[in-house]
Amino acid sequence: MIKFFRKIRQNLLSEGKTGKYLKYAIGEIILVVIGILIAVSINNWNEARKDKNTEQKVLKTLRSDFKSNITQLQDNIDETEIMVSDISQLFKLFRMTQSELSLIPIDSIKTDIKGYATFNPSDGALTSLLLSGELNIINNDSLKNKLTNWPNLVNDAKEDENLLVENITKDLWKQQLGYQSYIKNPKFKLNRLAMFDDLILQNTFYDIFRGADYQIYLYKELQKEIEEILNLIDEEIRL
Amino acid sequence: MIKFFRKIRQRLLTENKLSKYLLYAIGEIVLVVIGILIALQVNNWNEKRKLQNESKDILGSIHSEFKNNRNILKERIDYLEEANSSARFVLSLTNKKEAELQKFNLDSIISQSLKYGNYNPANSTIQELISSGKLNLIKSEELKEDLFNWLQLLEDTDEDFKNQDLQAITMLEVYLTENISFQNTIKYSDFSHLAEGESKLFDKKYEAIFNDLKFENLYHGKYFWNAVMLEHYKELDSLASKIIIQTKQKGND
Repeated sequence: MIKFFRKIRQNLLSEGKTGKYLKYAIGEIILVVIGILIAVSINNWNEARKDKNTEQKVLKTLRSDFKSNITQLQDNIDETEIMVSDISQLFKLFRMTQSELSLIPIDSIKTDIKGYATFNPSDGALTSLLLSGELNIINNDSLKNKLTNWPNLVNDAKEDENLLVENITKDLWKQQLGYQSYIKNPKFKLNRLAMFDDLILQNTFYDIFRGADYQIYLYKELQKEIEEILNLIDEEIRL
Repeated sequence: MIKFFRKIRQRLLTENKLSKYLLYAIGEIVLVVIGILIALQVNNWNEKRKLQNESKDILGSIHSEFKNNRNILKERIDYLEEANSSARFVLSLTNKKEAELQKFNLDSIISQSLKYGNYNPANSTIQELISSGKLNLIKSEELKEDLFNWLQLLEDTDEDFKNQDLQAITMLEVYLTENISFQNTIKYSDFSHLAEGESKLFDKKYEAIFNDLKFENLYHGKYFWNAVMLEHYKELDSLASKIIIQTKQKGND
């Protein structure tokens, strides 16, 4: 090959034809340009292929994270709905007079709120993606936007969740201390029925009632958002 | 020049001397170098074209994001202004007698006056530009500065929102918990679907609280923080509209 080219060159040069030599030189330059462009494209294509593989891996981790988040949200919704319906049962008692109340077997009714749900998303994959600035590995722009915005949505929901938890643990539990005996100590004579004449306690229950109702709404909004994200991810994952 | 090289090469090749052939090889290398430089040029030009397209896309997404942000902001402003006019009305009724107070549906007015909310716009395009280091794709220095100002203003707004929130939750609402009935006010709030009946524990007499200095001061605090927040929102609104104008391109309106 090299010998062949050299012969061509030799010929051209010895014949002393500048025009022909110029043509040859230009031809050689063009060949070099084409060769380099091909090399660059092969390199680009290879990089793109590697990125694509990483993207697929990342998308799969994200998918499993979001799937577990959606189940966790459903558990939270169920738990909070129970809280709402418990409180709404209590409001019936708040509407009764003391003589009506005395006819009710009060021990059969749940008069306090023991548990509450909090949302703790699994977001390891997303956090590392956002922190490392490697989000660009994801091609789909609307998916990228949704992923960037997801932590904000979670924060908003967590802010309201914290308020609800504070209402329960700081206000409600404190106000109920005089009405409930949590270890059922017979030494204390409690007038549990008196709690249904306590306006402040009723208002506190309303705060929690409202907060819990709003929390269910927020959890459902998060679920909707996850479903949209999952749809986008599924579209991007090759089968 | 070429003639000169050619002559050297010619001589070298005919004499068939290896060391002299090296000189010829240098000439060949020069050709290859020229080829590589041209290829780089082509590649650079292509990259530049791609970046230009990308920066056009970025401007487009900033434009639509801020249009959306501004719409939500307008809703926030309307919502808070409405609540604030109720708060102003409550303040105008302080020190009035029961007979005067009974003329109004105070459960509704108080409930309306308590409304407020946070403004959390989507900033995904800006956040992504910053985290991916692509902010330089925005050529206009003014726009870049406005985007940073936007984030800064949002932070300020958020700080004051926390103050507004704290005043409402730890002061005004605590007072109201002890003095009015939420069962009665809830049907005038955004949670009217939870309303059921009226509380037997509240006599619907408002004179006492409307003549309580503490109540007046708490409402004045509410009114003050509403005004502060409205000021922030309006500042954000004018900045957003400036950004929208700057990112306007042909064919995206």
